[in-house]
Amino acid sequence: MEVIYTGLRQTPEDIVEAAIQEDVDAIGLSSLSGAHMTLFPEVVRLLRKRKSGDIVVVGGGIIPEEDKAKLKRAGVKAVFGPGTSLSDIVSFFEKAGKGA
Amino acid sequence: MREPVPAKASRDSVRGLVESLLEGDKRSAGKLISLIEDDEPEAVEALARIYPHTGRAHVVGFTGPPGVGKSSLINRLVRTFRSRGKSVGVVAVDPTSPYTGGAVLGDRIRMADTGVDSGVFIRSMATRGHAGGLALATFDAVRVLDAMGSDLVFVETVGAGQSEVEIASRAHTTVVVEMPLTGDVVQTMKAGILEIGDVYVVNKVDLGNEDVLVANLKFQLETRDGWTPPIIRTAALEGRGIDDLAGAIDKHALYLDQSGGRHKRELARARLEILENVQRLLVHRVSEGSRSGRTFDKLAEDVATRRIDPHAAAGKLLRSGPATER
Amino acid sequence: MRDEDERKVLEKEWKRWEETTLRDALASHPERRKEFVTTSSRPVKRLYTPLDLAGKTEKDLGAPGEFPFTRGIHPTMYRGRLWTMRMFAGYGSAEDTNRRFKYLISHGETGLSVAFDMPTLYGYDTDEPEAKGEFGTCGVAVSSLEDMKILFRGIDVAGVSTSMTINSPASVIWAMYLVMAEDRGVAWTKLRGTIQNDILKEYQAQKEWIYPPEPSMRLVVDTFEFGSKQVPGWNTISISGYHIREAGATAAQELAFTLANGMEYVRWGIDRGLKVDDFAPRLSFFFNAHNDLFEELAKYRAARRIWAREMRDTFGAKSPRSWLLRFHSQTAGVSLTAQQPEINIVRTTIQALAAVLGGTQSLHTNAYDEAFQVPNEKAARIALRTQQILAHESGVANTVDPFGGSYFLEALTDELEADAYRYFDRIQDLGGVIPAIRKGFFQQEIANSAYRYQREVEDKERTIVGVNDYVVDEQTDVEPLRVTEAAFKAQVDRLRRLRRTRDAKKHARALDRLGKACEADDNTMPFILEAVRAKATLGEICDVMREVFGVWEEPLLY
Repeated sequence: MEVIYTGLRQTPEDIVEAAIQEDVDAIGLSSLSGAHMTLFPEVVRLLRKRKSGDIVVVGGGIIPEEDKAKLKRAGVKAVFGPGTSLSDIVSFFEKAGKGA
Repeated sequence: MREPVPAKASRDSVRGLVESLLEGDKRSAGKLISLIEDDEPEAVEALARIYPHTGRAHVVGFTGPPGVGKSSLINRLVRTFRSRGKSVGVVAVDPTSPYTGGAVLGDRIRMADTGVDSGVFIRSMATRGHAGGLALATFDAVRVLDAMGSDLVFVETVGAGQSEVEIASRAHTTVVVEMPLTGDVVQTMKAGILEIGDVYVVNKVDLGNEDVLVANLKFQLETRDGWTPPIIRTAALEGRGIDDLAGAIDKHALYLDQSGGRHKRELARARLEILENVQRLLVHRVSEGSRSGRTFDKLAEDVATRRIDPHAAAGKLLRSGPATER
Repeated sequence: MRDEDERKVLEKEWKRWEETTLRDALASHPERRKEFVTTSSRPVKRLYTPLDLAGKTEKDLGAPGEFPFTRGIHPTMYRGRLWTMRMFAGYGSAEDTNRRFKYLISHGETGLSVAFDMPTLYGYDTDEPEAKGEFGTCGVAVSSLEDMKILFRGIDVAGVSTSMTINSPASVIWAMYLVMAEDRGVAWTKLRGTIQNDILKEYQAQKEWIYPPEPSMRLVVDTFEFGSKQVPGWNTISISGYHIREAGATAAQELAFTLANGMEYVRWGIDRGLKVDDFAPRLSFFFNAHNDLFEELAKYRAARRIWAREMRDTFGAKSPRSWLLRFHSQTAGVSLTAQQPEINIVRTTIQALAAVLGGTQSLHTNAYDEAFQVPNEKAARIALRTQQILAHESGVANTVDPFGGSYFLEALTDELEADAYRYFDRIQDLGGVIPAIRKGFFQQEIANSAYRYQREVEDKERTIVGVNDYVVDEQTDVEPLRVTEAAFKAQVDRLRRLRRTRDAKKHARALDRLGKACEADDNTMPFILEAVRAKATLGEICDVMREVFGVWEEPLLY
């Protein structure tokens, strides 16, 4: 598994551009600042616009239950909240990788 | 999850991908590099289609010890060349962990502010066990970026192993990056480093103490084929000396054009790559080919039990069957 | 000679106990596990005895209020004055947070503490693209002097002490506070408070940096120099272990890295030509209060002892005020669970107890809903009440250092102290704090500890109630706190109006002068103040500095 770390505080445009140039299978987004409802769906939207809707987008952080459902409807494939075990996250990506 | 897709990029035909690549499409560039990097069967066709469209870009290799600031330097250089209207591709190589087989690629962090510029394409690569410290697919990826229309392609090595020798034999301009050490230490240069650079950079001059290193380099560097490698002082984080470095790269490119050096380098590279591919095909044939596979196993047994020596076994293996392409 | 004899007698006696009483007990009742460890995975012995104090004298402890201050910095501690109950608060607009401040004051809070939102912490204005989606979500947005004025409207700034959790843009935010006071006619000498201003721990753990380390350190020392002359009642730094611990460090790492940072600031101050006794008394500290009661207590006590010794003996501080390690503490946010959030009240109580028993000067208690969001009003009130119960009902504030002399606690204090010195040596071997940051040393050490802890939890070697044991299947019921679109719009309107109506010439000149001061060696504070008076915004001022200083990029860890 290869992970490309793009650093802190990237805009959705930065993230999508990096994902396309690196031809990634999945994008993992982390937000603890409450900006998830703005930023996560924006990443999905921009990916679709760039014909790259096949890239899996997942999120993690402090995300209220009611927001989780909204994010999934917006195309975020999984949301890992507090208490998710490392092995759950790893196996999600392994499965996503095989699907690719 | 999503519907199963057979191979990563094959929903797009190779031909289609190459066509859009030639129009400058970044998504196609990303997908083509993946094909090559993952050594997919379509890679051979892709490279064959791409090759005629290459040779336009000036390829600059960057080498130097880890932590010397290569990524930050490249980031600043990209901005400088962009402001002059040049398009730039970057291939940044990071090591694969020998323990997990995975890698964390972080060079992009330092290039973040150029990432969304339409005239810039940055691709990270892991060495994936390639001993030289450069990924096997690195220079094929360079070709993709060349065909896409990049005026310049920068290659950043991991700065370990034999990567600097490898980069020097393939790039048009090789930039060696060093930094001054602080404290009471004698600074030694890695062996061979003085022979391969076309341009030398002393980065992080903001730390002070750089005069010793510059003097040391100046004393040891020699003129080869009419080119004396310049020594450029930079502080990449603050953007100091970047224009000088860009100027030195331009000057070296001009020197190559005027002295016939460019063609000489291209010939050397071509020889190297033909031989490399011969080697690759042969290795593939003898170790994986179905017919000689059995022969190979048997010969291995014979060598292990001292019935014949490895030298004789190799000769036997090469004579054992017709050379079939895979 | 007599000590030697006494020791032999003791050893014999405890050996007898082990071979008789203990052995019999273990034979019939084996212990629950092979090894017992603290929250930081430090092994703990079955029993601590007078033997663990061997070689210790009263001198190592010191009386309260005397060198080396192990037992506390005041002779009477909380019998004289209780700790400051300082609740960290901030969300939404300046108006929202101003209301929360007044609410907390009306419920008995004794000091203010401002939480800023992410864009502010990174030096961006609310309307910049980098701020998208983050306005007011985890703190209050302060983009200009106007916001600062509203934030403290109706609050007596001469009478209250204000703590501001701001680091990379600390000098700018502080300047806004100073100009706000100035506009109200309050003399700077009357102001009391703290700016966190601890950039080193940002590179190590919290990651809210802007510029590279060297120019950042210069900005910090600028505030030391300016503050010691012009705002003498202000703590110009709060050297923070809190965030180091929150990132997953052990107690020993928190202690060692924080004090190493503290000494680095002192070195920079001295290098600037400041007299150590002129600025050292304004250095304050900020520690975490985590779950493991005794380990935490030992940490605070060791911290005081090390700091006093280093300030006196290494840095030659003559004034006893320079030797004092004064600290704020906050209960461990990282320990709060999203599962069964109400039980966080219990965790917070134990943690707050540790801080109080450890002699803290001020305390923030986390609200139980903070695993989800900045606290709602009720949760914040319960957290404040927790402190009030400790102060007035538990009896722990009645005497100084109640656990002093405990065999276990004294042994643990010594151990943590020794661990800290081992880390100091390693940092020195790497060339000092900043070279070690560039090499990723602290970051790697913290990441390793965090990873080990997480593995222990996932492997159930460590029980976390409600997370990997005693789990219930219930929907958590936390009332969400949302920032309104209207608040955002009002803030953006205010900013745009400010930019439209200010004196453009004066503004441009102030920023230009600031840029030149940054390029030269001048103290930046007067120029920042001038820019703030000229209505320059936070983002504009930070942009000038970004241009001169560059921005920091982190070394990557594998």
